[in-house]
Amino acid sequence: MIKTSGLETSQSYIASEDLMKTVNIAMTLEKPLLVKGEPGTGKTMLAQAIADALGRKLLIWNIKSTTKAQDGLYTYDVVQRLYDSQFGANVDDVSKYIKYGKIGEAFLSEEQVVLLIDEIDKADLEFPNDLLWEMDQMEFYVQETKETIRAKHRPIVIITSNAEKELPDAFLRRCIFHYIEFPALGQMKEIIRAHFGDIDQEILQQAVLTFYNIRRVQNLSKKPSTSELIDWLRALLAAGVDPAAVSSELPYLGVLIKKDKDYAQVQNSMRH
Amino acid sequence: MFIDFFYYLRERGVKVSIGEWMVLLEGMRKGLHESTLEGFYRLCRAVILKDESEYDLFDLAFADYFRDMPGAETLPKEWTALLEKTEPELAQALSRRDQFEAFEGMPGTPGKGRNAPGPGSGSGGGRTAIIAPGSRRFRDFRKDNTLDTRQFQMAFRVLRNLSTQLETSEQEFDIDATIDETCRKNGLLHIKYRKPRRNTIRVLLLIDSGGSMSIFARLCSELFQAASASRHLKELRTYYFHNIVYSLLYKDPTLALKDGNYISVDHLMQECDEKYRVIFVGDAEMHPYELDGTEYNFYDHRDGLPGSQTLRMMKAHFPHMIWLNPLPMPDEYAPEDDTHRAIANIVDMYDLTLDGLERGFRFLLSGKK
Repeated sequence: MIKTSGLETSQSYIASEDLMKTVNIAMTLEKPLLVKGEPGTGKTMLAQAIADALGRKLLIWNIKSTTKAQDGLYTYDVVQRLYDSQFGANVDDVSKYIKYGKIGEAFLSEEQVVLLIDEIDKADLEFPNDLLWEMDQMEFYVQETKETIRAKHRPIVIITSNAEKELPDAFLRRCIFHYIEFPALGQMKEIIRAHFGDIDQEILQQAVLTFYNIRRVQNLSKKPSTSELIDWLRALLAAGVDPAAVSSELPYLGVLIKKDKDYAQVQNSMRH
Repeated sequence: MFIDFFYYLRERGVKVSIGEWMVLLEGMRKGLHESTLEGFYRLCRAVILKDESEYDLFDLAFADYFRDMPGAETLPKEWTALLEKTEPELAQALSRRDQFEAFEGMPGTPGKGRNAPGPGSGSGGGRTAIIAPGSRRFRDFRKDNTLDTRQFQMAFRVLRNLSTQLETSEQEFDIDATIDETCRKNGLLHIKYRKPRRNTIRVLLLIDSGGSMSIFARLCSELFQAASASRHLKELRTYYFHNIVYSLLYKDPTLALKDGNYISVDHLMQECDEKYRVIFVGDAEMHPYELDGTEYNFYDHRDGLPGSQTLRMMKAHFPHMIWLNPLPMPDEYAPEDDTHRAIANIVDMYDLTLDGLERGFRFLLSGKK
C-alpha cells in the first residue's frame, strides 16, 4: 500500500486532501479512478501530479470523437505491409506491422506506469464498454499474431470525464469515482501561489474576490474557471493594474468571459 | 450488523450493488477507512457513488444513519469484527440475505431489518460532525429526471437490421483481404471484393408540437437529438403535427403553413414504402372531435379524413408503427383520456420511459411483442 504521504502535493498542483485520499483508495484497490469536475479544475494535471509523486512514467491517451477502443490496444498497419511487399521485402512477419496503442504500451512497460485516459466522454457511446474486458483482465489478444499481451505491471489508471455524455453503468461499477469540487477561496489562493509565487497581496485579494463574484452571476452559460483566473491575473500583473480598479472597472474581462451574452450580463450585474 | 447499512443505503435510493459492496469490504480489510468515520465516509463515497448527482442523497442517508452514533470517531465494533470473516463466507451471507429479501419484499410481509432505522434513531444525542446539517454542498447536482440522452441513443441502437451479404449484388473493395492475399503471393497484386453489410432501417419520426406538448419540449428535443445522432440509420425523416395528423405533416415544429414546409400524408406514403419504421411522439390528449371529426382540419376546409381515419390508413401502409407517449396510460377511467385510449387501439402505444422505449423499439424492429 502506498502511503498518503507519498502523494503529497507536487509543486504546481494543489489537490484537496479528499482527492489525495481517493487516489490512494483507487491505487490500493487496483481500480481505475474516474475523475469528473468542471473544466479547469485540474483533472488532467492530477495524473501528472500522481506520476511525479510516485516517480512513474505518465502515458496520456487523449480521446477524441473518432477514437476507437481498439486504438488504445494496437493497430495493424496493413497498408505499410502492402508497400513493403511491393518492394520485395519479406512481409511474412506480421508482428512488424502491429503498433501498440497507449494501453498496449502501458501493459508492455517494464515498470509500472500511470495511464491517463483523458476525456473519455468524447468518444462513442460504446467506447467505455469496449474496454471493460481489457481493463478487468489487464490483457488483450492480438488477432494477427495470435498473441496475448498481458500487463507486466498493472498500470495506475486515471480516467477523466467532462460529462458531455453519460457513461454506461457496467463501466462505472468498476471505477472509483471522484468529483473535483471547484476550489474554495483559501485553496484557490494556494493554487495561485503555486503558479505565481509571492505576488502583491492586494491585487491577489481583489482579483480572487471579483472572480468569485463573477462566478456567482446568475445564468452564465460558462462560468470562468481556474485556468482563466490565472490568465487574468497574468494580464492584470503585466499591465500593472491598480488593485482598487479591479472590481469596479473589470479590466481585461474578456480573458475571463468568452461569450458576448455572458460579457454583457457580467457588466450589468457587477457595475452599479 | 454491518450488512444493514447496505440495505439501508439501498432503501434510501443509493444505488449500491453487491459488487461494489465487496469492493468496499476489501477496502476496509486493507485499512482504507483509516478506522475513522470520516475515512469510512470517504471510502464509501469513492467506491459506491458514480455521479456527483448522487452525492447529496448519499450525504443525507449517511448523516441520518450515523446521527446518534456514540463516539462518532470510531466505527461500530461489530463491523470491524465482521471484516475478519473471510470473503467466501461473506459472499454466501450476502446471497442468503438476498433470498430472504425476496420474501420480505413481497406484499403483506412486513419488512424486517431492511427497514430498520439507523441505530438509536429517535433519541436525541450527539450528531456526527462530518456532514453537518445545512452543509449539503452537493444539493444542486441532483437530477431526478427519468430519461437522458444516452438512454435515448442506446434505444435507437436497437434499430439495427443488417442486410445479409447475399441480398445485394453490390461489391466493395476489401482492403484487408486484398493485402493479405497480395502478401501471400509475394507482392503480386491480388484484388479481393466482398459484399457490404449495411443497416437497412429507415425511420420516420413524427412529433406532436405545441399546446399540451410544450411541457415535454425538452424530452422531445432530447429524443430528436438522439435520433439525429444515430448515424447508423439508413435514413431519418422528422415531421411535426399538432395533436393528430390530418392530411399534412410539417417539416418544422412551428407548423407554419408555407411553401416547402409541409408534405401531404398521401405524398409521404407514395415516397416511403412499408419498410419504414414510424414513430409517433405525442401525449394523445385532445378534444374527441379532433380525433374523430374534421372540424380542425383547417387545411382541407374542415373536410377530408378525420384524424382517426388518417391514422388507420397510415397503420395499414406502415405496419411497423408505434406511438410513444410521455403521459403514462391512465389506470382508471376518466373521460378526458378517451382519445388516449382510442389512439392506443389503433397504434401500439408505449410510455416514453426507459422500459417503454426499449419494448417499443424492439416491437418496431421485429414486429413481435
